[in-house]
Amino acid sequence: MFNNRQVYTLLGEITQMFVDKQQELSRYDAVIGDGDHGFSIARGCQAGFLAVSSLEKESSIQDYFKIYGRELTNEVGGAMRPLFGLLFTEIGKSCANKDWIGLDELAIGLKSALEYISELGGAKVGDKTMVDAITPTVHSLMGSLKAHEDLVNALEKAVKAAKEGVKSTIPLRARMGRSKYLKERSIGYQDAGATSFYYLLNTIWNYAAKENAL
Amino acid sequence: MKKFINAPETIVRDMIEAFLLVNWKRLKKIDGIQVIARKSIEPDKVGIVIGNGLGHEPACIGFVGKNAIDCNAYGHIFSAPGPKHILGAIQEADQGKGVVVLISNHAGDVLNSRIAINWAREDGIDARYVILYDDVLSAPKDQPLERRGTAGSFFNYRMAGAYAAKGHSIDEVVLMAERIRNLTRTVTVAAIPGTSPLSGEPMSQIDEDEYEIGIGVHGEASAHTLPVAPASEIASGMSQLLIQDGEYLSGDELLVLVNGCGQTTYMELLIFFGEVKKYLDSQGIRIYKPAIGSFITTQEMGGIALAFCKTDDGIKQLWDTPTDAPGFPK
Repeated sequence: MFNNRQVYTLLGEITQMFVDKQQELSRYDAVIGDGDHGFSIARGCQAGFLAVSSLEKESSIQDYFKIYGRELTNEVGGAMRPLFGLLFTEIGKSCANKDWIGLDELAIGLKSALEYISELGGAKVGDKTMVDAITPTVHSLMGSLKAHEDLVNALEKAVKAAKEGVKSTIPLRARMGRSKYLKERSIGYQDAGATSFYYLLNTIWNYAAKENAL
Repeated sequence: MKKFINAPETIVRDMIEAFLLVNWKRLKKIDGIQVIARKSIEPDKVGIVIGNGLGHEPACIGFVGKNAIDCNAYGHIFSAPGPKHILGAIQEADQGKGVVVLISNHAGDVLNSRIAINWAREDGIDARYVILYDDVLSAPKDQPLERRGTAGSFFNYRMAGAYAAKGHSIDEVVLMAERIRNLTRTVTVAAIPGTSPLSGEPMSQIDEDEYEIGIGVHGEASAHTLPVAPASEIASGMSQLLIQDGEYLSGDELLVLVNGCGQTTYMELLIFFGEVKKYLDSQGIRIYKPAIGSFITTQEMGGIALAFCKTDDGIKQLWDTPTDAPGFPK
């Protein structure tokens, strides 16, 4: 479990990771998108972290996630990219009135983010979007929750599931957004949004392992 | 590209500043966010908000006014505003009775508006939305949510606010906006594409000897073209299409919008309206106070959007409600 100070540090690490990965993530997007995915998410995360940095020192976990997610959503632009920020705002909601975030809050927050993102964006599994990585992750986390596993083990499994989800997007044809012609060309490339989600989860796992979080 | 602008990067700022120079008495921009708002919104009424990309002027900044839209969140040229702008518009419009956000059906507008509405609800404002779709050629009739929002949204921009101003509850305002939408149908024909002020490129491709019918408000392509023909043929064909899709019947009385898409002359709009009137006469359908002009534009697209909305006494009364919004016909 993490407390509010750890959540703040974690959000900083997530921001740094997306800054480091922005070139790579934009390359995945260049095939059918505008090639801006990585830059856009990095810009959004930096705006998010700037906003939480100006919050009072002992703000609630819910507020940290909410403000970070809302700023990220506002900053990224594009037709579907704002959905990425909802991962944070939904995790925040599952931490309402709590002084810590553990496997329960993370699993339930991501589950509700998945439902919300699917509803708003209209993507299903197999449409070559981040939903392809989030769905197996949520299954994995909910399974770990039932089995009373600790956070680090649960995250380790979930990261593997997310990675499989990312791989599953490679042979798929994109169905959302852009023109038909471009969608055909998407076959053979992994989806940038799914990859971003995988990196996000991987960063949470690394942080949990480093902090020995239970 | 030849356009009377300074630079693509300053279009938004230059236009909004000038808009306020003209309309400062009644309208303002909210600091820090991209929202045009009424300076005084009557207390105890449901707020009406819309978020949209710029480039369609006078829509939608020009539709902010008494008995019309309370706040308009604007994005960049042809790109939806982010949720914080729409959220800011909702907060400004809220007078404690809730806020209805009208959403013209385009992916970016729907997504950003719905996110903002959820945030507003989390923050304690009773925010709702109505998705506006009217373009009959963009999807089959049994898939309304696949249909685009186009010029027929004008009827809702004009009348949902007039209805809210009468003090109706948020449930009633939502139902009325849905009702106006359900009574509305639109089809758009274009001869000449608009030019993006950002890229300088044409926003669609239309052959010299063809009209494109079913084109969207951002020049979205349609699968349908027509050979160039006299206005009478185009107007009657489009009217017939709307009558069939909207199931308008002999004896009905319709609001008729003949909307120029930017480059179309008033001469053409009048000639076109005359032909629509002849066709509706032949079908026993009456017209109630038509609106003819360029209200929802696509840069210099040479095109005409024809929209019908079936009336009853209530709708006619809303249509007749005066407004001071600068972009509506007086």
